[in-house]
Amino acid sequence: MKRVKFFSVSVLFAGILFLSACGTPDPDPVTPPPAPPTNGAAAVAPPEAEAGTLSGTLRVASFTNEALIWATAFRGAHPDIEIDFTEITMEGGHYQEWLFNTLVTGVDVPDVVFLEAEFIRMFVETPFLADLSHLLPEAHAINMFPFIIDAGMYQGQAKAFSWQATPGAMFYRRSLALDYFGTDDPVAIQALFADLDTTLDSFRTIRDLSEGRTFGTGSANEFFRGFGANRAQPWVVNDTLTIDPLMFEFIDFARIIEEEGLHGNANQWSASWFQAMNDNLDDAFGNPVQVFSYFLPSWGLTYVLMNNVPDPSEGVPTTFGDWGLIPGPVPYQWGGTWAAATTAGNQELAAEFIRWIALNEYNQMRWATGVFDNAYLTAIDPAFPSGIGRGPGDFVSSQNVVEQISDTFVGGLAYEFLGGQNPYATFGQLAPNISLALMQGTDAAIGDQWQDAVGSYLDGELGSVEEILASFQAAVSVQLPHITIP
Amino acid sequence: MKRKSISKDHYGYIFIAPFILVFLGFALWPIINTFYLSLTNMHFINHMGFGVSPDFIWFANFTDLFGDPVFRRALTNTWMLWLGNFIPQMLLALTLAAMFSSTTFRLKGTGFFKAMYYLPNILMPVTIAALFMHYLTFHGPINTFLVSTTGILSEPRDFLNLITDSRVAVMFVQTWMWFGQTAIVLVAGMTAISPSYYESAMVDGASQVRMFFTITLPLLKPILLFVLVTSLVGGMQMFDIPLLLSDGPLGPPDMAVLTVNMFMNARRAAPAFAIGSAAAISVVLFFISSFIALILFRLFRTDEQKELSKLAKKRKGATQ
Repeated sequence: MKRVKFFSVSVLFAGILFLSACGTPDPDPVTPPPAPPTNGAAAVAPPEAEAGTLSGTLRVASFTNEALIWATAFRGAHPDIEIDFTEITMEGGHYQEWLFNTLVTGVDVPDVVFLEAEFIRMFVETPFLADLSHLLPEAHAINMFPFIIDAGMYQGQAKAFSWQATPGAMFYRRSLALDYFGTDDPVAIQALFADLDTTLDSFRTIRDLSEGRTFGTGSANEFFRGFGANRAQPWVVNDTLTIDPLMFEFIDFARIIEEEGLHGNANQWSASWFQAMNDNLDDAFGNPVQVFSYFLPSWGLTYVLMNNVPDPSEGVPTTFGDWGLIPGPVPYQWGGTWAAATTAGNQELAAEFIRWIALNEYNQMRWATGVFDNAYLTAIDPAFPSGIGRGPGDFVSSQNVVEQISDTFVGGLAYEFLGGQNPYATFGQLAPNISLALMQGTDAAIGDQWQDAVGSYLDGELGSVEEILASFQAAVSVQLPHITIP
Repeated sequence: MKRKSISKDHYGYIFIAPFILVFLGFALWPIINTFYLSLTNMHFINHMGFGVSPDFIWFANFTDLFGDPVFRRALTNTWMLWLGNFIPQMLLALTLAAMFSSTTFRLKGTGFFKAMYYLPNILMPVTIAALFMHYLTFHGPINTFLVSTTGILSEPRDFLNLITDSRVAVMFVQTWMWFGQTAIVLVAGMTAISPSYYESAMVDGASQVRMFFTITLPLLKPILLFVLVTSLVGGMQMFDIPLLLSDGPLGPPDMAVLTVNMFMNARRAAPAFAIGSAAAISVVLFFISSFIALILFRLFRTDEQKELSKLAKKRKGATQ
């Protein structure tokens, strides 16, 4: 199925983006502007002065420019540090491949590497990442969500930490909820989507009352992460491909969605999926159709929904303010970035950097409230590229920070976007329910093949569950020749 | 005293040195290294550990490949997709080239049309894939045209998620990309044929069709061979369009457009990192392309070449 179709194609336009921005030594270090006062900010006192105690070159590699924001902010606190930043896209696995190559050959190994949820396990389960277990007490002290720590644990060693947590949720259209359920109140709507059965019933209600003009979901694949998150066993057990019974339940669930016409043929990341966000989707007869819900994690609010729905000030028809946020039928998480230190790099400096970005409540708070904006970063490094900076709203990994700053998001842009709902408070309720105990480095490849095989079955190209299995196993054997396929 | 003369004989070596060095370093060595790697179990990562010291396993990679039904499917797909684009592409290009170079038609503005037909070839495959993906999606303009404008279909089709449809889409896009290029090469070949043949044929009252089959085609043999071999080599390595259109590393739905090169890439890239196996696939492709190219060279010999080789054989026989 078309997971990242338009997205990947548009990113591929750029080819392999290899951006090596070497921090130029600054003759007179600029003192970063003081943090703008935010409500609740005073609750977290800045840590004791640590400026200027570190020096040397910090070599950072990542797949997005987020790492550059952190590295530059870090340089603001430690003006003697120089940053050597490498960015390579993870589209098509370029970053993973480059990183493996670099780590295996040991040539020009970065000190700090950023790892995405999709491949963090691939690297954590190697000897190339340093043991950062001595930082565990600090992670517990800031009350880091346990699943964030779990993702970086291997054989009792903590190898990666994150400033971020990415709980998944269900976003719905308030106006459509009013039309079909008579209320748009998140509590009442959550009751209608409390589990998978009630979700199907509510989707049927939407289909019947809208006479087929509104679809409950873009595609059955929106639910795949939910099924994956609640499995009892991982995909690979003792080097053998293993299929959890929940994956077969996903087939049944997807078949109901398909057969009963509950989805709008708007696959995740397809053009139709984005069009439906702003009610710009027409069927083949030119009649407008709507999609009621989107399953997205915390970053999906700012990066996906708010990025693709025009602001009211633009004066065009918009669904801004017409969105609601609920936990949805099943807890899950999606994405997230971790930072790890390499054994071949400068481990001490790397550990200090990771402490600063992931284990420091004050910095997490500044990150989440949008202190590290472009003006702040340009003051540190005049050569900092324009258009890059951190707005408010990223959901962070310290439960303490989440509790302290939740209220500051009342009245913000995301709050308005959600028709007067505080996203931070909702995500704060969701994050404790998440587990990443089954996470493996091969999840993305195997999960994608399962979705493709199920998709071909729903499209009538595979006739039975046996054929799904055969197609799935054949595909996995190509991408994972080392594992046993029963 | 004897005057020393400066020998300029070695200058030639200096002039060709850059090419030879680049060729040795960037073409010959990678080929040799690929052959070597194909006989090893080189991995970035494997279930036994990590490292770059591969074991020599002789032909195990090759026996694995030929015992692998998915690899055979990839081979079949590659041939199907190549033939499915080469045959229509050739027919189209031959027709266009014959019209462009015809002395009786004397078409005007052929330069404009040649440029237009060549245009798809200039676009990046990624752009083309994005374009056709947009056309062919469930909510795309082709469905709107087929369903509501013309009523040919009663319901929209999810073209790129159906086996036959996605294969036809790949063949169509490949044809569309390459027919202009092929037509231009053929026009060049046709204009090189001396007009005197056509003039004398016309005096004898030959028709356009007759002239095409008895004069143009036989004299076009070397050019046809060139087009066939380059297209074959390119077709066996088909990669970008099927990969991008199907939007999956293994050419979904159900590996319908999985080509050999996509198979190779899946073995090489994350999460497989099976370098040895990927190298073996490249070697198989190399031999397939070389073998078919040799057959084509033999089939497309011109009459002169046939005469020459007959003569050579006779002489050989005479000396023995």
